[in-house]
Amino acid sequence: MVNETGFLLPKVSRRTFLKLIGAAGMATAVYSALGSGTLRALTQSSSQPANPSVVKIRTAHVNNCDGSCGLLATVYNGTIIKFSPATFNDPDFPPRICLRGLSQVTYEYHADRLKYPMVQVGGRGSGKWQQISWDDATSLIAQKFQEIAAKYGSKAIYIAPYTGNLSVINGLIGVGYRFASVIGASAGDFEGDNEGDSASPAGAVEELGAFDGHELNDLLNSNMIVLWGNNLAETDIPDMRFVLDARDNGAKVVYIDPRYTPTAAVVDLWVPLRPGTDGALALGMMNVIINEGLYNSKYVLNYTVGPFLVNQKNMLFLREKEVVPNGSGKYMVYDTITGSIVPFDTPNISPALTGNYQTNNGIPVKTAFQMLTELVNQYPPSTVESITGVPADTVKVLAEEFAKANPAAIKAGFGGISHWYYGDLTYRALITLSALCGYIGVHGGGVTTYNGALLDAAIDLTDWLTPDGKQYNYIPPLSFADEVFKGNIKAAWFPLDNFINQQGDANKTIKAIQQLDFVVVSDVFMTPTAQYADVLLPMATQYEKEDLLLGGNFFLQYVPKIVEPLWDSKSDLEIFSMVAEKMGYGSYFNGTAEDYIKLVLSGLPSGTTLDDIKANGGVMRLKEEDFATASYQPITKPYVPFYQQNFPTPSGRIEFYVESVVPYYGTGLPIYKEPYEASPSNPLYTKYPFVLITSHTRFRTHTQWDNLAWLLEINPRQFVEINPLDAVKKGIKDGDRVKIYNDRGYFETVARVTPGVRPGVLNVYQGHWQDFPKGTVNMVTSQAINPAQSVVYLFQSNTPYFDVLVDIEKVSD
Amino acid sequence: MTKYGMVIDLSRCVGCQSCAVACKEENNEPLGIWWNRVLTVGGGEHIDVPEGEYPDLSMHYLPLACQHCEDAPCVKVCPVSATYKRKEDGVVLVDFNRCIGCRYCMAACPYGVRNFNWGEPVYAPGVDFPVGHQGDHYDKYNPDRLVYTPKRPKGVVEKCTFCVQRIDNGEVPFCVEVCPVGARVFGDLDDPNSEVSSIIRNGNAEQLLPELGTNPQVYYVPPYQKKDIIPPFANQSSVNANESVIAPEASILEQAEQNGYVPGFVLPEKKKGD
Repeated sequence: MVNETGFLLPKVSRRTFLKLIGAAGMATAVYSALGSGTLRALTQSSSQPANPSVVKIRTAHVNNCDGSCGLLATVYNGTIIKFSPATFNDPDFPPRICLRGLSQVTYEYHADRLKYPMVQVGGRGSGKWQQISWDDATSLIAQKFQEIAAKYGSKAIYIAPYTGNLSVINGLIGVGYRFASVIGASAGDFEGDNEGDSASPAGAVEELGAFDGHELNDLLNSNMIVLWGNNLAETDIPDMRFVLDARDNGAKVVYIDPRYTPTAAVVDLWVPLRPGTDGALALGMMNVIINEGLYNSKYVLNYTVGPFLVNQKNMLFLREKEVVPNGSGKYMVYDTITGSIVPFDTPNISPALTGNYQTNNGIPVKTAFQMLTELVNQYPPSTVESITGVPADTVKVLAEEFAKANPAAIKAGFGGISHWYYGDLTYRALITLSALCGYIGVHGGGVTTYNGALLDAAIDLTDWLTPDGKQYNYIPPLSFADEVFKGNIKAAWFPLDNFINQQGDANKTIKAIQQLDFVVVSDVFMTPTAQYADVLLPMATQYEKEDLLLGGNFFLQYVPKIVEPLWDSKSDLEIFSMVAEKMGYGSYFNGTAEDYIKLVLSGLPSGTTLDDIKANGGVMRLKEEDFATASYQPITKPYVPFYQQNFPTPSGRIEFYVESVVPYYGTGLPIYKEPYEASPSNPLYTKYPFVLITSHTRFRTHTQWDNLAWLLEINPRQFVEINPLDAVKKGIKDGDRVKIYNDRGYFETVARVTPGVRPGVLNVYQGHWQDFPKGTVNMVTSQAINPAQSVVYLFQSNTPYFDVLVDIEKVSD
Repeated sequence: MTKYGMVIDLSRCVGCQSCAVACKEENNEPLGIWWNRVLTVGGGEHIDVPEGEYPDLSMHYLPLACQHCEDAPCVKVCPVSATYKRKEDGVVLVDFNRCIGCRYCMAACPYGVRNFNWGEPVYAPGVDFPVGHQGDHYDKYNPDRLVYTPKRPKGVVEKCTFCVQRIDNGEVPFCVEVCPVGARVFGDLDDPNSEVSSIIRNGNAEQLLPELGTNPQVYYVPPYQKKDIIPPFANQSSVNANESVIAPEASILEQAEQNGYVPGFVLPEKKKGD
């Protein structure tokens, strides 16, 4: 056989040829240039067992990422050798995966996985560990917990929330809470208090009655999409597909962010602004929309509290009983037909949307919409420009485009909007803006931060998390340190929660942990939190334990046990069960993972079972009757919350005027407030003139995947983004080692000089833990709690990760 | 005849690196070797750094792997015909049985997409087995050509094969399957009805370095052309991005106080279940 260039192709393979030469003893002489390694490798590489077993098993990515991808694991002779995207069996929802899901083999088989239980014999942080058996470890934990319960009460034991895993059994709504309930301990709640993800939800509950979101393929119905503080192309890559599809179909895409990110590169308009001033921009847009008459007045009149009269003496809604003896608590409006103040549900009236009035008994009142108008009139585009840096004409055009888009959708980020002290006000401003235009509860509209089964599935967790009425004592994670200092917490267990690395004000957290009598950590790696354990337990990965995922989309995804736990690791269910058994509570932990998954699913109105899900390929879309909101709204596909305008608020309407926060803000309007700390109006600004924000990188999911080799090759180190103007001022060059500091602490990292970050702003991607403590960004963040959030039970505290002032300087080597 | 080609839509690529990692997984690439790299066309040496001065910035991404050129320079220079272009579908491949590691092909390739195994391959810590495709694959049209093997030895060149082990079984290259935003299309350039053909026919795709005459079978849809939302004159701020002014929020309270409101900020008694 002769190839095109005329060379004779050997009839025998080169490998065989080499074997022949090797046999004749000439190998070393002829191939010394390549090294004998070549010879060995070639002769070994093609061996393959006859009849290998190959199975493909569908699972889901349970990590704390909005993607909630379906993963297909290829298992070759018992080893997972590949992950690829798995189908959802839904033509409207394509398979999805990203670089992190694709790297999971390097996680599952990572050489650094914790292998066996250990006690830290040299004291916390010493790094001196001794291996012990599971029996000894769980006995020790049980004994210590019983001692502490006897001395201080069981509430003095704190089970931290899982933030590494969103699943039903070994995760966010999982066995840790059951354990806490059964033994009478305290626990952090499961909606992400660690992470600054509570401000937006609080604002949503206040204004709309619930924190809910549009299914993201609904963006295909939008004529305009505003990505507000949401670097979607980096933080939720598969859902960016829907934005790009909408864009290519003609939708205008606007992205508001102080940074120029991958998202900025593919949208129609990037709007840079001063961090934390998003509320002012929203008010400015409302200024234009109201003054140019572009708002949907009929919608505002009928579906918002716009026409309701507000008593100007106490800043609460006027109630009938304030003007009529023995009157009801009904909201009041001004009827333009009769010129009198009447209950809102009086028939045949024409309520005023604007105006100042006075009741017969002398109470000055205004309509809520009048108050909103007066508020936004303080934010004309020129004022907004001076606050935010967004040009006045841009504010005007943006507002006009938004109002005329019909509909426009706002996709907001947890980072850009919620990681601020006043994130609740900002989110409410976004909702109000959307409501003015009549975009709430319609396809292609709305304000969405998160969406999916985790928010909307009508499952009843009562029997799983609080069996027999036993209920854990709720302590928000942000209150953990203070409760320790007060002496209310004496022991803690951190299951897959890198608490020390991720909570604000790391020094405060470490100080609190050092005051505890006993610390248990269960995890996959020796994280900073693990380094402070007294007892450290190796946790099985999600591929080694059976589970169910209700995540950031509307699919129930079965998470099978694909391989046996590696080394001597165990599933969370097994670990908590063993300890509970030794504490005398074994009767509550007799079930298998399958039993408990079935327990959780048993409450589903449709009667869908685990076997149904498995029979459907391990994935099943939530049925209409299985949406919790089905009790008050029709369920559409794509899912749209508040469809048909039913709002579970006190008034049943969109409350852009919220009574419950009046004691905190002096008003119920979504006012703009300068950032709590990160504002030039803060005297601290003269000392610390940089705003430090800590965005999400695509190379990690929070702290997870920080040590995966493939990702480290592309993204080898943590760095701080600094604008060239600031770098020059500070004498910092690209690649210099720098220190970032304020009164709470400091951390060191490497400078990346880039024009993509705003002057006066520094960005460090959060989640890096391998350089703990010197490289830990949360050394400089705070635990400041906005008391206004306490009005929303589920979302009482929020870590203001972005609301931080620092300074930066070069570190000499 | 079939002529396999790929179209990569740079208007959709967000530089997520998923295709680079997918390729790494499917083809068990050792540390230090990337058949597919996603470059940032922007302002600096680092990824994700845009060009320009804040806020006048621009950036796009460029996934780069073997272009499977119709007139491939690498094929011309290989002294032992290890590198070859199979005529059945135009895919350019390396026969690991023949490669002597001279690296002439690497010098010849203007795209720099070939990798050399300078040493024994090293993999992710703890992953001591091949990932991705298991076992050897021989060219289905030239069955004595070893065109995929999980552990390439020291001293051979390796590069994108359009996932020959997959396309020979009727699948698409893995990068095409995984792209989260749908920026990749694969198909037959000789089939006028294929998606790749229609994109190219619409005049919407370009080749890299066309002046060199390599005639790649990989095409790129240019970076995104923004819709004009804001007139250019309107998007200039007179405010220095580094300065700002405090908001006039206080006047709301002033007004309220004029009406008799006393801002007590008294925390209400927290009732259970509130």
